[in-house]
Amino acid sequence: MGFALHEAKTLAEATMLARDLGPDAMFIAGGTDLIIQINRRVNTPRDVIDLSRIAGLSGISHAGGVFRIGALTKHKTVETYPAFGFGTPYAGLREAARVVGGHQIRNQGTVGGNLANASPAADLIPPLLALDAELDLVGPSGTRTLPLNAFFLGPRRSVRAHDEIITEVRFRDLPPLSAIAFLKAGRRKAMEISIISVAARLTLEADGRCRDARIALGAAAPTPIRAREAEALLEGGVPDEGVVAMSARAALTSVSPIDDVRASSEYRRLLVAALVPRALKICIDRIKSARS
Amino acid sequence: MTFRNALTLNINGSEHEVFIEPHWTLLDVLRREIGLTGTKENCIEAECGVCTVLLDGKAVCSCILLAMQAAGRSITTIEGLGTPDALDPLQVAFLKHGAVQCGYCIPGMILTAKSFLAEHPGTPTRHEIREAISGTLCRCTGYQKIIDAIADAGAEGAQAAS
Amino acid sequence: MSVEAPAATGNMGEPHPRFDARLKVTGGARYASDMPVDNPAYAYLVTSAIARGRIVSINLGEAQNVPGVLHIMTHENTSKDVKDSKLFSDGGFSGTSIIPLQSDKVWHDGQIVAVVVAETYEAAREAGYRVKIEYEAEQPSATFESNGVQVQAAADVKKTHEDPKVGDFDGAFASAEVKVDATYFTPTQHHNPIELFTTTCAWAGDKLTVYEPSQTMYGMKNGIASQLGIEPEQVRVVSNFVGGAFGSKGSLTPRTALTAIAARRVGRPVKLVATRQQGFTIATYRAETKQRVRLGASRDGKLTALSHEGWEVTSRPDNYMVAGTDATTRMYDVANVQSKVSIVHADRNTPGFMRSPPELPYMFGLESAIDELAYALDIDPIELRRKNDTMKEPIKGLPYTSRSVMQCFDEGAKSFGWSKREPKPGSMRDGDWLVGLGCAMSCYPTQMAPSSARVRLSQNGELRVETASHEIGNGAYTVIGQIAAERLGVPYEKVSVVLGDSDYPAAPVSGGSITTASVCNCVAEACDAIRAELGINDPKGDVLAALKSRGRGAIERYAEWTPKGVPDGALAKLYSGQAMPTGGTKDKERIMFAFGAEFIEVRVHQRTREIRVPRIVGAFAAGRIVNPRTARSQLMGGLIWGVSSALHEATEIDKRAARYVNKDLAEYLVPVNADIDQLEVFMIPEEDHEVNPLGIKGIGELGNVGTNAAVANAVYHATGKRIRDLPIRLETLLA
Repeated sequence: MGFALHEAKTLAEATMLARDLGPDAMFIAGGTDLIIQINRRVNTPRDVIDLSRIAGLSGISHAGGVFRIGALTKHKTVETYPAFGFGTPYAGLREAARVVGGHQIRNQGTVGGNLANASPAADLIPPLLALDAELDLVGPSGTRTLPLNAFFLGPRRSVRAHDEIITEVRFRDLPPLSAIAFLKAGRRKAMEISIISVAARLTLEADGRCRDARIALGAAAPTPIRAREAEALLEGGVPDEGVVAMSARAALTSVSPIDDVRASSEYRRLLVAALVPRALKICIDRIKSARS
Repeated sequence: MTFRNALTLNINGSEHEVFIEPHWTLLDVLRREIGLTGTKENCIEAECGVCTVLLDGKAVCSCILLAMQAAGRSITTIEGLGTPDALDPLQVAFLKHGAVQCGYCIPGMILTAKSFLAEHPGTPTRHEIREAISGTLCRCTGYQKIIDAIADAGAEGAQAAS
Repeated sequence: MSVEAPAATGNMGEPHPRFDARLKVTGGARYASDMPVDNPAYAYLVTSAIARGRIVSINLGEAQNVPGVLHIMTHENTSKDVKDSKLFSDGGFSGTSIIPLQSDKVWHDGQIVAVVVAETYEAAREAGYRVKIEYEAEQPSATFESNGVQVQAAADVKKTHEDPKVGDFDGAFASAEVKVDATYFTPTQHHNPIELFTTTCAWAGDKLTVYEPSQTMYGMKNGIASQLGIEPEQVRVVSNFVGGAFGSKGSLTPRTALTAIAARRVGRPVKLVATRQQGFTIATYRAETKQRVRLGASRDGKLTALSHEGWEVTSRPDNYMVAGTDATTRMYDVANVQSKVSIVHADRNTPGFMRSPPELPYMFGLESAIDELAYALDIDPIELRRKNDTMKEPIKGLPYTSRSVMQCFDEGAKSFGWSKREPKPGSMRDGDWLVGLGCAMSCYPTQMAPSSARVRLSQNGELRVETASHEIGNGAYTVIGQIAAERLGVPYEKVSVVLGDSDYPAAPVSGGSITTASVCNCVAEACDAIRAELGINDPKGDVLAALKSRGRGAIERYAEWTPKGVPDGALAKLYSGQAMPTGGTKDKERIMFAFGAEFIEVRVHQRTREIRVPRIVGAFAAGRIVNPRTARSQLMGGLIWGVSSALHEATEIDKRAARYVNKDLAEYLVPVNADIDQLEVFMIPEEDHEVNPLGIKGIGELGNVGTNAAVANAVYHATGKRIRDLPIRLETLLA
């Protein structure tokens, strides 16, 4: 019958509460996933610990060559953060943030919640993977840091212990001649759970060769993934049309999409093949236009 | 009787004291406990936007917001927008453009637009408006006229500001 | 492009703003679940987890222990309470003859198997989750081709059903120079009005008040009375505003009687708001259809043979069907016609009418086949339609009262830029996008039913109209008020209209686009009676002055309007809640339809096959348009419904479990704002003095009839791939 709601004022209080209350306690921030899961009986917590009033976990900062996104930062804040705007190398983050649910959900849902929910289709995860983001987990016995790509275990499963809280996700500044792009395919134009999402990031040398490539895919496997073979094919060479096409084919070796009401596995594979080159091309265009 | 918490909510500029269970959503409390039924209920899963209210001026889905999480914040419902003598410019624009059919989505639609226009001062494009109100479904479906109305209200707001 | 309101042309009325718009933008419009009742208890439905079989045991122990639970209804304590549930098409009121909680039998997935009543909604829901039911399940039959379905010819199960037929189809088809023989499928779809299925019941002594969004006040009043075994006079139904219905709120669902019984048992009002998921199985839906269409034509494009066969899914016990061949066999000039409708009984809830019931699925078949024929003949699809246009339906040779379909095609084509279309499929491109232009005919029968209304003119100039019709987004308040104002020469601002209450004079169900024609003609008659009483026969004469000069405070008239050609006893049936419409193909001397032409531009991405619809144009002729502003809204909404139906909407069925899979708005896709781009509606002025005295046809359903075919035809033009199975999926375009 319902649950008890505990308002945590500090991180320490929240983690201690979670430890003491045991695995039947869950954290809530924006509530955009949890309340629906509770209504549907996917989760039946006895206790819910509200993190939304903990100070210091919200907002984006940039210092010392590092962007830090606090876990309670709303999607809307990412969407409107000037340094992630169009015309910046980080525009792909804005592209992902602006397609999370509708206007309302972006005012409610938090970045930390999106990561903790560990949906393979979460929009924000592929661009963060492509930025080599890492995150901090704070538990009753201390803090640990891990790369984002080591966080996910399966659909809605992660390495986070029940009493650990994501406090921040961060990534280093991109080198010059870099750009990131994000594309999402759904059946509608908005309010859509991705049937495939792609984030690509390229860093080029002055001579046009690819110094560094990242391709991250959502809804293509049980967790958001990196397409490492596709990345390797790009690195060191000039990303011309042929190489980009090869890389897209290679990306298919990394994916294992599901069949469901939204799309067949076969169609998802086709989308990977179509969207990877499109995303890479956007990166190249963005680098070129920033250069000129 | 189950245990209930006392909670004070600031709704449309007045304080309301309610006794609630912790798992009740703001939507439940607005409609059932306070009787503000202009906020509609539907999917209860933040897929349709009819339950939209403004929380500190920003559109949120009240169906997935725990009432207790709204304590200490300012809540605006459709009943708090404009007055009978002076409707909000968005309400006026919705009337002018005939953007209303069955009307069930309209309170949520207007509040979503209110929040969006506050965030985008100036004259948003039709494309931006479309994207912004995509979280609010109209099944009748009056999208075209709703966009006309919001564009009109946006343009008037921009003019008033300049 | 922004148009505040289209100007009135020809015989159209003024584009007055909606009567109820102000209430709706301020949150003041009260829908059924907004109505305050004293100290309500809350009901939650428990629905079956199997589609066929029986309940072996119900354990309520855990549920009853949830704090706040007041009562739980199951078949063990409610089996005798609901007396009757005759299907409306058999002269009853219900959308299903299945009475839940009557026995241990389970007829379909998601059938109501228990109702929990508690102090709060949350407690009722919690207890609902804790009701433990053991079933004995049998293998259900889900849909066409499933084992165990039972197929019956419509003519064998329904006395009044006719399969239209004329000439010698077999002979004409065999000798036709050019032929099309194709099979089409339309999916299961659910109305999904944004307002949920909700019911609040409050007893005061032996009098029951029901607050429920409904398309039929008298149908509900009489229906609920017969289900509960009480007199209709004991029941009042209130439904001032309906948050969308589209057919789903037009017949009685089992929830109403159960809520009333619950309220009687707990001795206080009970409020039920069914969840979105439950809405898929506790009310009706559009059943999937399979259709085979055969067309024969001469080389120059004259149709010589038409056959349309349809199969529709229904539930085990009910013979529900929409049977759209009634219309599709009468759209073109063709001498040899045959048709046949069959129903396929499966273990499903009973389907019902959903926006544009017979025409929507069946015109998809016909208008796709016509497009296929145009390509086979290498004739422009509009010219093919012109060549076979007719002012007389071919089955009985009855004349159309009016038919402006080619005017619609010509106006629409001009605005759409049809002449720029390259006929060859796949020949138009824009970068990576394949461009396709398609069109189709839209039609809807003009039907009317008896209606009653009361009109009162007061000396202060106020005019009040009362009728138990209702506002479902159609603009009923507005057009009814407008007709009254016009007829008596009173300013529109002085009119008040009250609807949505069974205490008002009886009005028919708002289904089949009959409301405006039925109710407005009746209101006009009441106004005319006021004029006659005052002796003001000149339409420009000042009625108010006459009222004042006679020293009278007010004058009131009650009118009953009966359209020409209704069956005997139709007026009496109005009061017992059964609409008996006439018109359409039911009249013995004439045939009455509204028409339209719909144009769609699609863009299909050449690699991913994403489909976009950048442009929609619809031109419609529907007799007298009372209010071009509200009419345009309805038609636009219809077009978007049509695009949605073609590209998005399908309720997927798990064939092993006979269970709907995508039972929410995240998975059952309806278009969002961002999906719709340019949309233009033209209303072609049309005068029809034969349909009814005011010359009104209906428009609520006309808008979405042709769209499915227009989209599919455009997709064929873009890609060369003919899609005969809706909705059009990206995957299908890849294959």
